[in-house]
Amino acid sequence: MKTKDDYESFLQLSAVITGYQRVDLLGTGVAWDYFTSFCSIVGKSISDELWQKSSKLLKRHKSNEEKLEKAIRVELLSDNKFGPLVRNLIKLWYLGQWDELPAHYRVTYGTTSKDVSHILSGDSYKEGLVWEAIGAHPMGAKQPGFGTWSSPPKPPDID
Amino acid sequence: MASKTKKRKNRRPQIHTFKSLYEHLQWAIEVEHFTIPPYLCALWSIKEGTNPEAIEAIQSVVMEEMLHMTLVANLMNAVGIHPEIDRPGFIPKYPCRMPHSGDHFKVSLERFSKKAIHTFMDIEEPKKSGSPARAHHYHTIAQLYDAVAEGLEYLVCEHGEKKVFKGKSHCQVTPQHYYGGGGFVFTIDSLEKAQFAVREISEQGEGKVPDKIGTGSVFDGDEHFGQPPEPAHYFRFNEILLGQKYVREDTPISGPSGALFDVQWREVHQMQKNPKVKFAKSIPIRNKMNAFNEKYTELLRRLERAFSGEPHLIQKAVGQMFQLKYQGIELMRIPIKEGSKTMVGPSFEFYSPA
Repeated sequence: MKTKDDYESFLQLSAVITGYQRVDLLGTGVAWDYFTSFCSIVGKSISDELWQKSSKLLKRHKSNEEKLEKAIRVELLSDNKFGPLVRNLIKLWYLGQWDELPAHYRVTYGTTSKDVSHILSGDSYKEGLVWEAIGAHPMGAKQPGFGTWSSPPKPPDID
Repeated sequence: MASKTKKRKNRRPQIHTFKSLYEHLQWAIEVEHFTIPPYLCALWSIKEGTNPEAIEAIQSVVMEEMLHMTLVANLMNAVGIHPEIDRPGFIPKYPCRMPHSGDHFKVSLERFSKKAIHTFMDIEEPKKSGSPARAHHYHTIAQLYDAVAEGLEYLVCEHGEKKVFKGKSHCQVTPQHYYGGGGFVFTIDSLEKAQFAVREISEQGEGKVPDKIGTGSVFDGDEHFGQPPEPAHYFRFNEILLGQKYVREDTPISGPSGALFDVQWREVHQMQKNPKVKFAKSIPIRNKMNAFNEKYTELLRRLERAFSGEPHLIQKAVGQMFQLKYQGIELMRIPIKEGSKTMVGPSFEFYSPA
């Protein structure tokens, strides 16, 4: 049950920090893989703390998107402990890659042996949000069809 | 005198007027399109990296159905009419029977499963040797095409080829516009080419008509389309069901005797059966389904234009088809509600902005 709640916090936090909707993130098909990989790379104790903190913020500002965004900036992104993790999560969603956490973070908070820079999987490369955001497609995958290169890229409309 | 009239009436095929020919050609393009959404749902529901043989088989059938749609459009343009595609009635409301068919089985939008493949085989069922052409309540698609072929021949006999094939040549989709999707398209401007097109469509679907039941070829006549012959659609689906490939020597009775392959029936996104936007459990999901339907409707709109005098637009439609695929696959991964193992899936509904 706790995992389910944590996963939901992960999804909702991810939606705020990526600018995509929860449903878009589920549509990538890699959300669960990201959640489990994230927890396993940074370690259970610190990831649990992050989901608890996120859950509190999400509940507190449930009906005010603007306040929620601000709270995430101040209390997570600017926080010494959570900031590097949340920034890594943004990179994970957009690029499908995990970047080794900064040295000062590793010394202060510790991490696991899995915390090395790597592309998470073939799917994570293909499903990176960056491709849709720039109106392109991952090179060598998700082909857009013959002749489509004659049209300019179409990034999504930004509200 | 009376007996002469009776004799002539007996010789008249079921399609013997221009009006009826035009109506049945519209039916033919509806039938060709009808098969595509169910095949795509099964195809897109297969999890990536699994079931390569099933993916290859279904994908190749879909490509050929798109070729058939294009050939029927060329045939319609050859006789001076355009297909009507961009309208709500063109899109079937699944689950439903095949348009204008005499069969009672219903076709659903559903995930890849043995049951779905059985339904696909019902759709592509070969006609039995000697079964008559049927313009109405046909049991196999070949019967409908036989009726169209007979009608064309009759009208050419009655009115001359020029009066039947009076369409403008610039409306034809040619290989310049349509590249290698399931084979080559060709210009239709005569009875000979029209009958060739009709025959090829039937053969790709059902195989070469057997001389005796069960002794015909399971392979299509794709050498005419610039492609190596493949088992006809019915038999390609049977390969999936049995997990074994056909070889050239095999017959419908012998069954396949080629390479064995695994079919992982469980490696499938659990798409709900016959999704509908109106039943979406949340606004974001509804928006996502609508976005798919909007793209699908745009594609039909573009195809109608391409088939109505602007064939160069086919190339632009290619990109839309690929986008539709990725949007469809996305919907296969989204649960219908939080915590559910059932996925949304594409609903293939006509989209009209509120």
